[in-house]
Amino acid sequence: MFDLKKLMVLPVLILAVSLVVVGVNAKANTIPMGVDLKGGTLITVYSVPKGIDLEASLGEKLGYKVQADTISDLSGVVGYTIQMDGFLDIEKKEELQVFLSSLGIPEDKISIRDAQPSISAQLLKDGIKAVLFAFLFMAVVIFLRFKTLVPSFAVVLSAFSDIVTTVAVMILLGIKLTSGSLVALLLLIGYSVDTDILLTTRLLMRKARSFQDRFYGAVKTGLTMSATTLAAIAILYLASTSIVLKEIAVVIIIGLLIDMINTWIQNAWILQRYMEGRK
Amino acid sequence: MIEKMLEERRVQLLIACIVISIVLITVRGISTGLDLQGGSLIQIQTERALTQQEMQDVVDIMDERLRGGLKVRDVKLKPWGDEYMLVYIAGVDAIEAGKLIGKPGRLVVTVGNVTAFTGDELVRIDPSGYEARGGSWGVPFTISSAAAERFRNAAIETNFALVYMYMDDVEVNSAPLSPTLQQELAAGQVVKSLILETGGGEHGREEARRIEVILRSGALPIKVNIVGSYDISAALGEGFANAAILAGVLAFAGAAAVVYIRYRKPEFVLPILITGSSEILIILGVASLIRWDIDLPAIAGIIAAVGTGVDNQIVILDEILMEKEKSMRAKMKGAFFIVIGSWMTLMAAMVPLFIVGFGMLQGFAVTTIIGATAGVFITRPAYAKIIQQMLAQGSRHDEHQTK
Repeated sequence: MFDLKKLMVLPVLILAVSLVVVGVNAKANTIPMGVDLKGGTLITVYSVPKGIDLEASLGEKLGYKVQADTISDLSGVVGYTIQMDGFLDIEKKEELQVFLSSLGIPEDKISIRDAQPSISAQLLKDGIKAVLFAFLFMAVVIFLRFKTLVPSFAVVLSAFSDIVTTVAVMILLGIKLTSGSLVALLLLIGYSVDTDILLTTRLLMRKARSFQDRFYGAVKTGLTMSATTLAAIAILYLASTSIVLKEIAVVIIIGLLIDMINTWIQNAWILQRYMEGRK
Repeated sequence: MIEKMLEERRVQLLIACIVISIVLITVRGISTGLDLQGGSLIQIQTERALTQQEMQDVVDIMDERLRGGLKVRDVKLKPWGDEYMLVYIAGVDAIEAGKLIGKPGRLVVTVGNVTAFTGDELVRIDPSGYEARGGSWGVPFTISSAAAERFRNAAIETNFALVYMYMDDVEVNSAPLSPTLQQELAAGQVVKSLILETGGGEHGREEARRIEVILRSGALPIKVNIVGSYDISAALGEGFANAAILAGVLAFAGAAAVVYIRYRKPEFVLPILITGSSEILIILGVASLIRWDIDLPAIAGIIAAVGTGVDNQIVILDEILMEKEKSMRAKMKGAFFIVIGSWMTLMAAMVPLFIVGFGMLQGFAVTTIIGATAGVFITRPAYAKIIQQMLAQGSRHDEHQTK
C-alpha cells in the first residue's frame, strides 16, 4: 500500500517556502519585473552584431545601467533584449536609433517598448485584480461543481499552491514578472485545476473499484494530459522568437511541473483522508 | 465507418462549422494585430478624465493628424480606464507617430510679450513651402479679422517688437516685422496672412510639414502625455508570425507524439489532429466574423485552447478505455462532467482578463474563450462520436479475427 502521508511533507514544505519567498520579496519590493509593470525601457534587437558588447556600449551611451539578455530559438541566439529603468523622450529615442544603426543594426530589426511608472503601476494593479477575480471565480465554479466542502477546498488549495509556488520559482530563477507572465498565471488558474477535477471526479464518483485502482487510473490520464501540454509548450518556448510567447510559455511549464506535486500528492492525500473519514 | 460517422448529428454540426469558418476566412479575411503586421502602440495619459465627446474629439484629431501627416490608413484608439488611451497605428514607428500625437498642438503668437492670437483663430492653412526670400521653410496661414485686429494693436503697443510663435510653449520662430508690414500696420491696415517659418534644410522641411498637419487638425481639447510606447517593424512582425506559426505546428505535433507514445495507436492520434485543426479553423472563423485582430497573444491563446482540447480528448478516450464495465452513455456522462468542469474553470480565469483588457493581451482571452467554448459544444461531442465509431469498428474487426 502506498503512503501519501509520508509524501505530504513535500507539498507542505514547498508551499511554506514559497509563501516566505513571495512574502519577503513582495514586502521588500524585490520581485523582478519587466518594463511594462514597473516602468523603463526595453530595447529588443533582432540582429547579432559581431564583436560588440551591447550592454557596455549602450549603458555608456544612454547613461543608465542596462541589463542585456539573449533571445534564442532552435537555431541559436537570434537577438538581444536590453532593459533599463529610464524612460527616453522622442529626441533621445531618435539618437538611440542612430547610434544602433552606427553599430550596424538595421532600424527594422529594433523594437522599443517603454513605459512610465504611472501607467505600469496601473497595469500591475489591473493584472493583480484580474488574478484575484480569476481565482475567486474559479473557486466558486469548483464549489458549485462538486457541492462538497472538503474536496472543493482541496482543488482550490491546489490551485493556490500552484500560483504561489510558480511565482516563488520565478523569483528564485530571476524570471521577470511581465504582463505576459501574468496572463500565463491566469491561464494556470483555469488550467492547473483540470487534473484536480479529473482526480476528484474519478475518486469520488466511481465507487466500483478500490481507491488505489481509481487513483492510478487518474494518474495515468492526468500525466498524459500534463505531458502533452508540457511537450507543446516547451516546443513553443524553444521555437518562437517573440518575447511575449516565451514569457507565457516559461510560466506555464513551471506551473504544470509544480501542479503534478500539488495534484497527485497534496490533493490526493486530502481526498484519501476525506474518504476514510466518511466510511 | 466514415458513412456512419457522417450520419451523426454532432459530426454534421462540426462539419458545418468548419465549412462556415473556411468561407468566413476566405471571404472576410483575417486581420492581424500590430505585432504581426508592424506598427506602433502609443499609450497616452490625459490630464484628467475625459467625457465621451472629448474622447471622440481626441480620436478625430489624432486620426486626422496621422492620416494627414503619415498617410496612415489604420488608426485605432482604445480608452483604458478614464485617463489612459491606447493608440494603435499600423505601419508607422512610435517615434514618428509620437511626434504627431504626443503634443496638444497649441499655437500661440505674441508680439513681444503681448499675446496676439492662438491657433484656434486660424481660418486657413496653406500647404507648407519654401520661402526663397528668407531661405526658410514655412507654413503660410490666414487669421480671422478679430485676431488681425489684436495683432495690429499688439504690434503698435509694443512698438513693433519681435513676433514669437510658440507651439506647445516651445518657440518655433521669432522674427521682426518687415518695414513694409510695420508701415501698413501703423497706417491702420490689418494683416491677415502670416507665415510660420521653421528654418532651412531637411529639418525645416519636415518641421513645416508636421506643424502644417497639426495646425490643420486643430489643438487637442486636453493636455496629453506619452507614457508608454511599443513598436514593431513590418519585417519583425513577419518574422514573429512565421516563427509563431512554425512553433504552433511543432507544438501540436509534439502533443500528438505524446498521445502516440501513450496509446501506440495511430487511429487515436488522427481524430485528435482532426479536432485540433478544426478548433483552430473555428477560432479563426469567429475572429474573422467579429473582426478581431489576430496578434501574438491571440496565437498563444489558440495554442492554449487547442492544448486544453487535446487534454479533454484524452479524458474522453481514457474514460472509454478504462471504464470497461460501464455503458457508453455512463462513460460519456463521466467524461463530460470533467470536460465541462474544466471548461468552466477556464472561463472563470479568462473572463476577468477579457474584462480588464490588460494592455495588449486581451486577444489571449478572446481566442481562448472562443476555442474552449467551441471545443466543449462542437468539437468534443463530435470527437466522442467519432472515437466511439472507431472503437466499435475496431472491436468488430477483432471479433472477426478471433473467429
